[in-house]
Amino acid sequence: MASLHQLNAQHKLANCLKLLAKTDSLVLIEAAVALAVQADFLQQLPQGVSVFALSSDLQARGLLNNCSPAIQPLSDAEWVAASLEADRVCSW
Amino acid sequence: MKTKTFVLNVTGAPYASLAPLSALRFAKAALATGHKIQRVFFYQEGVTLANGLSCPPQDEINLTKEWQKLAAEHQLELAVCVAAALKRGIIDAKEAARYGLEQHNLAEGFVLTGLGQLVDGMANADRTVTFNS
Repeated sequence: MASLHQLNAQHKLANCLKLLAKTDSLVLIEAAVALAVQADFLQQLPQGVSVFALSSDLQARGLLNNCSPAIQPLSDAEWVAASLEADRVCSW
Repeated sequence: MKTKTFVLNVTGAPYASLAPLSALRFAKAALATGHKIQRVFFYQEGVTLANGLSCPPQDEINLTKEWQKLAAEHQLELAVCVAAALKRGIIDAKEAARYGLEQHNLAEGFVLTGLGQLVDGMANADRTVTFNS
């Protein structure tokens, strides 16, 4: 039973990490997309977690071209699809 | 692709958070890809989106109007938690009469309802997505 964790602020990451399982996915939205350009962010996650970030939120902050290659930018339509691929969405 | 149903739960306020804007983008993308939005539930600070008297500057997005427009186009139910709304001064004609108030401000297209409607939606929809502050 995999969850899609939807994170909208950097300060919520510590709590999210407590429940993030290796079979889960994580989507960065709103201001949390800033994590996508931080060097130590991915190292904090359990191995195997798929990480996404909303393209429009990255673009709005000028981060689209600086996003780590390990993080997949998502269109809004892909965001909807990701929410359906998981068994549930956990919004932080 | 099979059509799925969503319930969106918006708990963040417009302008103070991005919750109503993110939920709007999600709703538009879900509808554009052939899915259904069973209900949009505005809860906690999210109820302030239903204030019909908010007047953002004309060169800024008017989130209340954007939601009204999307709801009218797709017959969406815009449900507002009555308890969360009343304590924040969001009130319809019926509740205004009950409380002896002369004014009411619930925006057109929004309906004051109970928290049970969120639970009902969560039980029946394929997916519930919450948008927090």
